[in-house]
Amino acid sequence: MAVAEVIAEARRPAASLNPFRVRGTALPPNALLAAKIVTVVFLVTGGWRLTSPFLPFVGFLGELASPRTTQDVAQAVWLIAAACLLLNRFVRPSCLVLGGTLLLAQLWSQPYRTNNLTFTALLLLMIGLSDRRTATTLIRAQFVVLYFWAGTNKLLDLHWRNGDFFESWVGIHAYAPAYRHLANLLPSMVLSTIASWAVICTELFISVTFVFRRLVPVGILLVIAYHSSLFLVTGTTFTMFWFSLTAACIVLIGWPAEPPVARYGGEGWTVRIARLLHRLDLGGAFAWERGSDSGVEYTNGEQRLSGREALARLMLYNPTLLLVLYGLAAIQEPARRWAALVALAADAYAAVVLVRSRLSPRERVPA
Amino acid sequence: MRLRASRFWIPIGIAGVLLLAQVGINIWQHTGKARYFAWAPNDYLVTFDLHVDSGGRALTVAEMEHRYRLDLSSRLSEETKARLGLDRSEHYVFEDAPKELEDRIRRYEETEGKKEGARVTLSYQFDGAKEQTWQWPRS
Repeated sequence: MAVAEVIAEARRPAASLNPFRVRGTALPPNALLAAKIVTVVFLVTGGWRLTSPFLPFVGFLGELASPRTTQDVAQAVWLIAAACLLLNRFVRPSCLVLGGTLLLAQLWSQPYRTNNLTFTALLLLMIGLSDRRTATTLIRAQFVVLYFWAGTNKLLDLHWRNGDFFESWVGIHAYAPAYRHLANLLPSMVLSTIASWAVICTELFISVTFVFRRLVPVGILLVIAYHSSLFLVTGTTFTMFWFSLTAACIVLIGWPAEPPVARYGGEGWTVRIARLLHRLDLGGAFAWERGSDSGVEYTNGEQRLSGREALARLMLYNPTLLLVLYGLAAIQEPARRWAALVALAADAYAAVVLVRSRLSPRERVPA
Repeated sequence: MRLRASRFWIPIGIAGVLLLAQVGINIWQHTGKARYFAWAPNDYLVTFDLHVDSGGRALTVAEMEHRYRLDLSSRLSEETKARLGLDRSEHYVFEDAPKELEDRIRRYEETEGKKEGARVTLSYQFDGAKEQTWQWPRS
């Protein structure tokens, strides 16, 4: 489906101050959307507070000013850049400042450094360094490096190869009794060893999928399925990881060059949802038309879809919907596992459509 | 024309350096026991207990949390410890390589806490293996 659609060079209309609009800037719409999603999540979770210097990796970074002043300045810089990005002003420099500040904060504080924040910083930097021609290549390269080393680190670790890590890690989580019940049906350590090797193979395979252009849609589906499953089972997004990785996938999805035409009319559940999406489209992502025929239609260039397939695209290419969903998922309470379920359902639907398009040459669209 | 080319190649060059730096850091970190800026997300489980004596008294949990910026919320129930065969004294969880926990305490005591001459005992199990003890100052 969407992952296999054509990316065309877009004419750039004037950038708008509307935060829900993602067209008309130096960045591809989906790269700008991914950066906005990460920024919104950071704002909602309070990540923008960053941290003060403490046991810096690079000595002089701890001596720039008092810890309090350093943190205050970093926060101010970060918030100004976030405002610029959300209002579609200086979008590439803003991404560089957002990612650079986050990376600097990790360099000046050993406890603050985590893999999920490093990835978030690099994602923003890569988007800031990219343009319409290079965005997907850079994000693919970042995925290759991330998953290759994540898989290799586990492969080289004896505790991962023999299942010891998994056995201990699962043991401290709330679902341990259920896992133990299942593990007891098999000889000792067998389930933990199988699970460990499944993780190692999955991560290494994901890195391979981003090397080959043809396999990128498979890689996207795997990243979303893998991390959303972890999110669903453990109930944690691993701080920024789930948000940043799934947002990075949005950069790799083919995005319509011009606002597609969305037409709906009559009655029925698809029409009711289309009407709701029309009201929700605060960024003018689609050219909405009222049709005389009953049903929903989506037209992007020569591609014309109707019914569920049209509706799926009206949701996927809807920045307002995605920003709201991510923003809500970033709120800690009540339990936010629903976001994992939404991602898994969308992923499953995309997988079915992708397989169907591969099996049926008539429906195939260029990747 | 030259300006346009440099606008394309400079960002690409910086991105290339960032990617190559990650490869280099990963290789370098695999020569040691820490994984700073290397991709090892949630790959380790350290269950531990910590005692710090400073100024002639044992520090409270809150004081130790503040001192090392560690999360010392107790995440291990007695039932969990029994199930995993962990030492009963262990209360806390650290999800990076144990070397990074030792480094953090050592670096603090070598710099900001140097004048206090604190004595630190860290007892931990790494991925449920045999308990180990690390002390500061090193004897």
